[in-house]
Amino acid sequence: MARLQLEHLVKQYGRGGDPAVKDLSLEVNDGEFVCLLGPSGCGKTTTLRMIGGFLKPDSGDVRIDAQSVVNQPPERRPTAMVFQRYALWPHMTVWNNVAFGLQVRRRPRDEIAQRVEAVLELVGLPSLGRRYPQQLSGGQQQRVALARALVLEPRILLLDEPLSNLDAQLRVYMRSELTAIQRRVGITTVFVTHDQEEAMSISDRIAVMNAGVLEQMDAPEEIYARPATLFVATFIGTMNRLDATFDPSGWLRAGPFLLPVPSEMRLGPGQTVVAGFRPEDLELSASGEGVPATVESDIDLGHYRRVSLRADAASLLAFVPKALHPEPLAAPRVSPRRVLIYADGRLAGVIEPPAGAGDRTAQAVPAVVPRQSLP
Amino acid sequence: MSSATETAPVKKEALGGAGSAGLKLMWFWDVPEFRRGMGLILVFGLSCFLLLPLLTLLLWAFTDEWRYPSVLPQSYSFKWWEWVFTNGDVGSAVRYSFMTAPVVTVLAAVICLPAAYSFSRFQFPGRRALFVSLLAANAFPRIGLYVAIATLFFRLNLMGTFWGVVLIQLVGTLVAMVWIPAAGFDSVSRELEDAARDAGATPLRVFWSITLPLAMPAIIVACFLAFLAAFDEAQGTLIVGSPQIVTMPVLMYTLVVNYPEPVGAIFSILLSAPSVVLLLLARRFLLAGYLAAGFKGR
Repeated sequence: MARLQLEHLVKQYGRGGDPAVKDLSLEVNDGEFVCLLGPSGCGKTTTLRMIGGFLKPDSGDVRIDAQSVVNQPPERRPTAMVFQRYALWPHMTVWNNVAFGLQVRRRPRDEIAQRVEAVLELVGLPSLGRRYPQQLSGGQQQRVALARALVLEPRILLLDEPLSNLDAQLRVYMRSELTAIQRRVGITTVFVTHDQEEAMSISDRIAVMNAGVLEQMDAPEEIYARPATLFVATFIGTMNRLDATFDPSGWLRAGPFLLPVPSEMRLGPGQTVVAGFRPEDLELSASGEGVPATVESDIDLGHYRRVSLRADAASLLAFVPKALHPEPLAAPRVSPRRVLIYADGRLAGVIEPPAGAGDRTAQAVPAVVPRQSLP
Repeated sequence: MSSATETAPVKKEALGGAGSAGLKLMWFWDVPEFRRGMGLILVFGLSCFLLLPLLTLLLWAFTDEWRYPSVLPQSYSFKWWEWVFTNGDVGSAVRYSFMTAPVVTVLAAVICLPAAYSFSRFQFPGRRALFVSLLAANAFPRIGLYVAIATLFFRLNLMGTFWGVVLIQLVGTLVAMVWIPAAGFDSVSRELEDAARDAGATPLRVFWSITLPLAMPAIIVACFLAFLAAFDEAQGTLIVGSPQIVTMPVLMYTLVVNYPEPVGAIFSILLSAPSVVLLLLARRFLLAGYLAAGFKGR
C-alpha cells in the first residue's frame, strides 16, 4: 500500500540551542509496523508531527510512495493520526466523530453510514455510535480515536503514545488489539512510545532515537541482541557495563575478566573500550570456570532470580533461571557468555559463545579465562 | 516523692496557660454544634440581606396605602400597574430599551469575537497590553468618560440619536465580550483542532465545526452579559440620549423622583425581568449536556 521515507529531516525549535531532530533518515516499508522509541525529548513526537504535517521540517523531505508531501498541510496528506489524549470532539457523538472526515470529503450519505458502521465494527464498538466521548471509558475512547483514523483509509497510520493514558492491564490488552487490527488492515504504521516493552512486543522494527538522532533501526530481537550503540545497549533492557582496556598480552581486560579480542576488531594497545553483557548472559557456577564473586543480594522474582554480585571492584547483575540454580549460591564463580564490545559508543565486535554451547547447562565461554590462571 | 508528682501537672498548666486563656474567650468555636450552626446563620443572614429588599419591592408594587408604623401595607391594589402600563413614556422607554440592547449585543459580538479569537490564538506585539487595556473604561469614573465622549458626539451630531446611544452603551460591553469568549477559545485545545485538520478539514472548516461550537457556551454567556450591561446602562444613555431617547433605566430616575413608591417598585420589577429570564437561560445553556462537557472536558 504505502512506503514512507524520511530523508535528512532537521527540525529546530526557536533560535539557537540543539535541534530537536538532527538529520533523520529512515524508511518504513509497506504494511510495516515501526516504533519510534526513545526517552522523552528525543525528538520522536516531533518526527511524527512532521510526518503528519503539523510541523514543517527546517530541511529534509517526507516521501510517501516516493512522492514528496513535505509541502502539503495535514488535511491534504494521506496520513491519519491517533493523538495521545485521543482528541475526540466532545460536542459530537462517537458516530459523528468517526463520520466527520468523510463528511468533510462530501461522501454520499449511504457510503458514510456504511463505512462508519464497518469501522466501528472493526474496533469492536458497533453499538456505541450514539454516545458522547466523555460517556466512554479510556479504552473505548482509544478505539474511537483509532476508528476515526482508520475510516479515512489513510496510507500511513500515525500513533502518538496512544496507550500511555490507559491503566497497565488495559494497556497490554489494547496493545494486542491494536496489532491485530493493524495486521487485518495491513496498514503502514508509525507508533511513538517511550515504553520499550511496548515497542518490543508490537513492532516489526524499532527505530531507537536519542537526542534527535536515529541510533538504530532493526527488528526487536536484533536490537536486543546486537544494540548498535552504547545508548541502545543501556536503554533497551539491562546491560552490565565494564570499561575494558587492550592488554599487551593480546587480551581485553574488562574489570575482573580477561576476554579474547573479537577477530573483526582492530585495537591498538592501551585503547579503551566498553564491554557489555546482558544479566542473563552472566553464567554462575558453584565451582570451576570463572571469577570468584560475592553475592550482595539475591531476589526471587518467580521464574528467575535477580542476583547482584561483586567481583573485584565491579558490581554485576545476573538473571539466574531457577531451573538451573534452584538454591542461591553463596560464593559463585562468574563468567560472561556473550559479550558486546563498544568502541567510541558504537558496537565494534561481539564475543560469541562457541557453537554447541547454546544450552544453558553448557560451560561458560571457554575463551574467557579468569585472570588468576594466566601466567 | 508525692510533691514531685503534684508539681508536674501544675507546671503543664502554667506552660499552656498563656495560650489557653486567650482561647477561653472564644470557647464556643470548639462546640461542633455551633460550627455547624454558623453556616446556617450565615446563609440565613445573606438571604435576608438579598431577599428582604426584593420582598419589600414586591410588596410596594401591590401597595395602595402603606403608612409608617405598620409592618405590612394597609391596603393593596393593582391600580399602579394599570398606570404604568398605560403611561406613554413607559411604553416608549420599553421600546427603546428593547431596540438598543439587542443592537448593542450584535455589534459587540461582531466587533469583539474576532478580537477574542485573535487574543486567544495569535501572538502579536502588544498582545498582553491590549488585552489588559480593555479594562481602561472601567478604571475611572464612567461619568467623566461619558461627558468627554458627549462633547465629541456633539460635534458628530450623535447627541440624542439612536446610534449615539448604541455607541455609548457599547463601551460597557467590551470587556465581557472579549475576555469571556477569549477564555472560551483558550479552552479548546489545539489537539482537537489538529485532529480535525488531520481528518481533512481546512482551517476554516475546523473553526466552524470544532472551535466555534466548543467555545459557544462562553460566547452565549458573554452575549447575555453584554445584553444586560446595555439594558441596564443609565448614565451614558442619560447624557447622550435624553431627552429624545429615554430607555427604561433612564426613565427609572424620573419615575422614582416624581411618582409614589409603587411606581418605582413596579418599574424595578419590569427592569429586572430580562435579567432573571436570561440568567435562567444561561444556567440551562451551561448545564446542557455536551456544552458542559466541553467545559469540563479538560
